[in-house]
Formats: sequence, C-alpha cells, structure tokens
Amino acid sequence: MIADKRLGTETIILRPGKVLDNTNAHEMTEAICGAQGEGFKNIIVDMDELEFLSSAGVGSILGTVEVSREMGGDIVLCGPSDKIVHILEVLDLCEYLTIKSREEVEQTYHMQEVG
Amino acid sequence: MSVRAERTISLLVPLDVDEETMEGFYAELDGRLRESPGEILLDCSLLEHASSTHINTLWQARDRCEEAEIKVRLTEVTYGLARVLEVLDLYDLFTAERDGVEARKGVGRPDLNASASPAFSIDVNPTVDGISGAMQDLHDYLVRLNLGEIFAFDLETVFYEVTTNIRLHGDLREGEYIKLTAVPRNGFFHLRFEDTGPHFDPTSRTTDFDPKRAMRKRQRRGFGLAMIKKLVDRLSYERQDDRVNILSLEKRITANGGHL
Repeated sequence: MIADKRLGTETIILRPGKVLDNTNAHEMTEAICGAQGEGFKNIIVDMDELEFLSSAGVGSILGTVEVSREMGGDIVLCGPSDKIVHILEVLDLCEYLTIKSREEVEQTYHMQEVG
Repeated sequence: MSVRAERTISLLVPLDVDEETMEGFYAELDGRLRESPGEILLDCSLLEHASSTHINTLWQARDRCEEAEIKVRLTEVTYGLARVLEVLDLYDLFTAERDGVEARKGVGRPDLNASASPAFSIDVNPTVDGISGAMQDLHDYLVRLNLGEIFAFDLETVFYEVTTNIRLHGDLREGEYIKLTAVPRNGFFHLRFEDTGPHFDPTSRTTDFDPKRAMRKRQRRGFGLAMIKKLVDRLSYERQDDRVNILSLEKRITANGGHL
C-alpha cells in the first residue's frame, strides 16, 4: 500500500515505505498514474524510510516520469539514503531523475514540512 | 655496457587517510617508481587497524607498481592487517605471489595459508518470503565478514534480482530451491546460483541500458539484468546436464567500494 498526502491540487507525496521492489512496484506505478490522472503534476516520492530499491522499483518511476514532465511537473525523489542514491548512480540515472533533499523539496514546493 | 643495481625502496604506508596525506603518499610512490627500483616495499607497520581506505591504498599502490612493472610486496604486516587480508582472501594477491611476507608472520599471527573465509551456502525457497529470509541470512553473513555497507548492499541487490528473476520466470515446482553459494576468494566476491528451471543464459542477452530511451519509451520492466551486470564485474553461465542453470557472478573487492 502506497501512502499518499495531497498538497493542494498540483502536488502529491507518495510514500513507498521501507522497500520498493517487485512486491509493491506495481502499486507505486498505479499510485503515480492515478495521481497523474487526477492532474497532480508534481509527484514527490518520499524515500525517507526507503531501505531497498529493486529494478522493478526503479521501473515504476522511470516508466512514469515522462508523463509528469509533459504535464509541466516532475517526479521528485525526496531524501533517498546513500545506498539508494548509489543504486541510481550505478544505473546512471542521477542525471535523468530529479533527486532532492527533504529541505530542498520543502523550499521548492513552499511547504512547511514534507512529513 | 652499464649494469643497473637492483635497488629496493621502502615506503611507509600512512595511517592517516586524509586527502593531503594520501596525495603525498602517492606522489612519493610515483616519484620512487620513476627511479626504476628493483622492488618497492610497502611498510605496513602503522596499519594495526586497517580500514577500507587502507586496503584501497594498498590496492592502488600495487596497481601503480604493476603498471610501472616494478615488483612490490608488503612488509611489517600487522596482525590486524593480516586478518583483514585473510578475510578478504587478498593475502596471496599482495604477498605470496611476490615472495610474500612469510618471514614476518611470526608468533601470534594467523596462519594465513591454512584458512580462508568460510563460504556461505543456502537453499532459497523461490517465494517472496523465502527470498526475503535468505537475503537477511546473506546480509548477516556479509556483516560478519565486515564488508562495507555499500559493497554488501550491492551483493544483496544482486541476490534479490537474480532470485526474483528465477522466482518469476524459472518455473520452479514446489520443493525445488535455488542454491546460493557466496564466498570471497582471490580479491573477488563470488556468488553462484543454481536452479533447475528452463535454460536461461543471461550472458547472451543484450542489456545496453539507455536511461533516456527507457524514459521516452515509458519502460517499466526489464532493468534487472542491466542492474546485475552493472553491479558485478564478471558474469558467466553454464547449463549442466541439460538440467541445472549455474550462474556465477564475481565482484571485485575494493575496486568498487568493497570496504571493511
């Protein structure tokens, strides 16, 4: 189950929890597509608790990010750990995906706090 | 005709690993190598508590010496460093192959030729819970080896991707398991997977991963093999008796952040 928190009509936070792998990647894809369908152009994937990211988890984000960008928004990976960033680096994804710290996300989206 | 004397030069490997110290050490090593000595001795007397950075330093120093075609060996190997080299099975690579530091092992030092790190073997039930449990066991084994977090994380990720792929596509029947053997040997960490699913040779698959293209095509699947190949240094496949798939993966210790 991917938890979400709506911030107005344009931005939504999705929380995959501790793992984003084959067991819940399809849920993440559905949550992202659902949010995009509802008009949320900015999707923040809160990775604060994320401890493991598999290739399926990567696919759930990589395969949906273009839609958000076409809407004029983005999918932002918020606060990933060093291990998660390392996996993204290994796949050469850091230059293609938007990765921000929690503080950057709060500033960018003018939020008091993401949590 | 001139005859060049074969000189031996000893260099003290620093304990401090700050940038300035390391730059100084490598600069001195490079300078010494330009003198074309017969042999470089890396004095490890300060490395009682060897860290990943120290191992990496030794590795890089060894590479530089090899590149310059200058013989290199470790001297004054402390007990702590010897244990670390033993655990990673790097001892021979740094020592025995180049005449070793056998004479310096002495009393109280481990018998480095007698033992190597124990292998880890497990039969993995190809279910979500079975893979999760085995991954925890692998994690515990890697922690016991005192490997660096990122290096261990890479191995665990590889384990997950391989076993999940077999779970999803291996058509294993109930009671059929994936056999994993993991062990560090000769500077590489080895993972060997055996399963009785249909023939599948991942080495024959093209896995050029283009993130930009994947995004444009909105590709959501099929990244597992690319991830595995990027996380390991060697991958080989064998079909045994037309019945068993054997996938062997090797990841170089230290070169890609294998820490202690």
